[in-house]
Amino acid sequence: MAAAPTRAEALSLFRSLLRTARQFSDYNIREYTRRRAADAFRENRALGDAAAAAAVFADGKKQLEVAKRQAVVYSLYAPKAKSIMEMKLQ
Amino acid sequence: MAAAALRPAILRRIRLSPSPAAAAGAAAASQPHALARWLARPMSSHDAHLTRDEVVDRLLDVLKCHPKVDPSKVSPEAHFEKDLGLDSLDTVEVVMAIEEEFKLEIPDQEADKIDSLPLAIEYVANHPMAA
Amino acid sequence: GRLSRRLLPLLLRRGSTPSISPARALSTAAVTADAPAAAAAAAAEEEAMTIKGVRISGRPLYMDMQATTPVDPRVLDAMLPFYLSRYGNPHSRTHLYGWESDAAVEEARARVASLVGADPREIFFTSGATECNNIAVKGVMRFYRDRRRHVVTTQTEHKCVLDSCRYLQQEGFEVTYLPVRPDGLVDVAQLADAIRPDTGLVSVMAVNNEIGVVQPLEEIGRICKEKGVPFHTDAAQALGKIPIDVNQMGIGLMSLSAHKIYGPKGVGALYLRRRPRIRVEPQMSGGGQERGIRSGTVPTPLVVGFGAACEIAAKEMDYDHRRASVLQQRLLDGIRGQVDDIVINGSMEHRYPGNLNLSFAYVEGESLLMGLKEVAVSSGSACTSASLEPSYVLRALGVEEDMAHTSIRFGIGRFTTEEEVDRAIELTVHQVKKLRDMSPLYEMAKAGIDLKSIQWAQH
Repeated sequence: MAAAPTRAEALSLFRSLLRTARQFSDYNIREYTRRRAADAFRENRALGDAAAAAAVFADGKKQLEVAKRQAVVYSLYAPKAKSIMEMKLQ
Repeated sequence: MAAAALRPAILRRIRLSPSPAAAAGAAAASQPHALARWLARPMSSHDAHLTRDEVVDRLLDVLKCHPKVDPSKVSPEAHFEKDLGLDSLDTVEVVMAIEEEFKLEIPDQEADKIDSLPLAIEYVANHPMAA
Repeated sequence: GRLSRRLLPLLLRRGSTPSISPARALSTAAVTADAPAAAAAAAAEEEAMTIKGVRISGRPLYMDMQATTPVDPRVLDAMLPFYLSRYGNPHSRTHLYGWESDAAVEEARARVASLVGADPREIFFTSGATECNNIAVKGVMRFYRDRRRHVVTTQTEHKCVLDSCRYLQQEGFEVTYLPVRPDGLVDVAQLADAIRPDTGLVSVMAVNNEIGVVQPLEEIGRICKEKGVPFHTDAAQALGKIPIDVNQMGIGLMSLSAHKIYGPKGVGALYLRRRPRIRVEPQMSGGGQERGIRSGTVPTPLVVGFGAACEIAAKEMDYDHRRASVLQQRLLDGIRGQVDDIVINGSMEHRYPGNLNLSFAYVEGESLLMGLKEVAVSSGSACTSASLEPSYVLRALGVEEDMAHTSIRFGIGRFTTEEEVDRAIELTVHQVKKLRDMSPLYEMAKAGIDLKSIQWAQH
């Protein structure tokens, strides 16, 4: 059975998720990925059970791989026009 | 050791700029503040290096804009946890915001050490690629 | 900040001019050499960027989640391999390509089943909820046609259920279209009374697509069980958003759709109870796939996407629901705090929070939607093409015609941000105020004139 992640490992995964989130060309997906990662880490920070912590960590790593791939896919098909949310109000 | 760690970071970030105007235009398109900074900069300052005051000002702004931070508590001496009440996850988010503001990518080992404004100022001010 | 914002457009415009101006000069020269006309053309070009005084420069923020949802990147990630190397027909029995596709389809089936507390053998993949509703309504009645001649449904069902019922009526079946209360909910006692010995199906949707109200499924299911009538529910808008358990809710048949839960368009599933077994007459003849219920090759990538969407929905339902509630409240407070005379259509208590359907008194709905070009929303009404009929759903609630014409349905989803909600508030409030300023009705109402007392000339 996998061991619970160390604090440094957890923070490193969090940082990688935020970095990957930043790479999404789509405004909504970018914001969601960042927000979901931040909320998930806050929700799971108090997991006392080592097995549960290990499972959550493994899932987080899987999510990171998905996000990395999809950030590339999104960038390949990014529309020319951005969301109005990325523009300053006139 | 620090220099060894910086070398790949520098190599990664070196780009060929066709002309200063084009570079400024591109920067402006992606980041309006960059244009204001570029315009405000004295003509003689060719090296892109930021002044310490500028670094401090912008870092204070980053902290004040963070949703979890009480702007009135932000000072150049503030410690993220003790003075601003940020936890380790907030700190990661703050350091990420600093990266974005100065167009840097801070390696994990360095980022883990930045837990206060003095350390952040130190890191950014000494970073040759901070923009 | 302010300085740079003002300078930026100047700089960008200057930068882009050289590449654009030759083309523009050419086109105007070709059309006409007349200077005023050229000026008008230039003005029209400017106009195209500005709609009703609002500058449109980017893609509108999306709040039409009841129409469809964006595909979740995690769903697309699960689907892509089946568009690339794993392209086998899941019904091919003689090679790896078929086997791996078949395994993926069965895994997806288990995921869909698990989200609604069903057995995977009770899930049949279709092209979407419309097809499911057709199979359920027509298929059940035709199968039991000798003994069962009557259907009970409501006036606020989706068009495809109502249309299937009309079709049955033409074949000689009888249909009771139950009215709903002003809050959009069906009266359970009335429903029980409507069931006859020859009733073959009760069809009531779980969450309404226009007003978001959640019908009392468990109670309806209990009544149907007591009376021995199969209960069908169109759960396209409910799946993954509110908890559904086919056993607890006594559901016999259920229509599901993938693209309302961040899955791909073009796939859905029919839940069909095994114990006691409910049988349907298939609506599609062919190779007998999906146990003969729905012939046609099962589209592996779509089905895998549907399965992934269900798995994510199961994990994210609480989180998404909490967020939708917060954002719905923010939207409602934001609009209500700045404009008066707003009516919420449908129950707030029994409602999926990702839906907020509002009517703005004294405002013409079409003008409001046109003015909200930066927000992708739809009116609750079916103001399509030439027919300006107000929504039959709102009419069934007893909403007056003028109010039914001014409704807007705001949809909040997994990817909606606080900033989008705030922008939607700002834009909506601005438009409503602007239209009311031009409205003589609003002026009269504010002056204390009862608009109902006015005699309108016919024209």
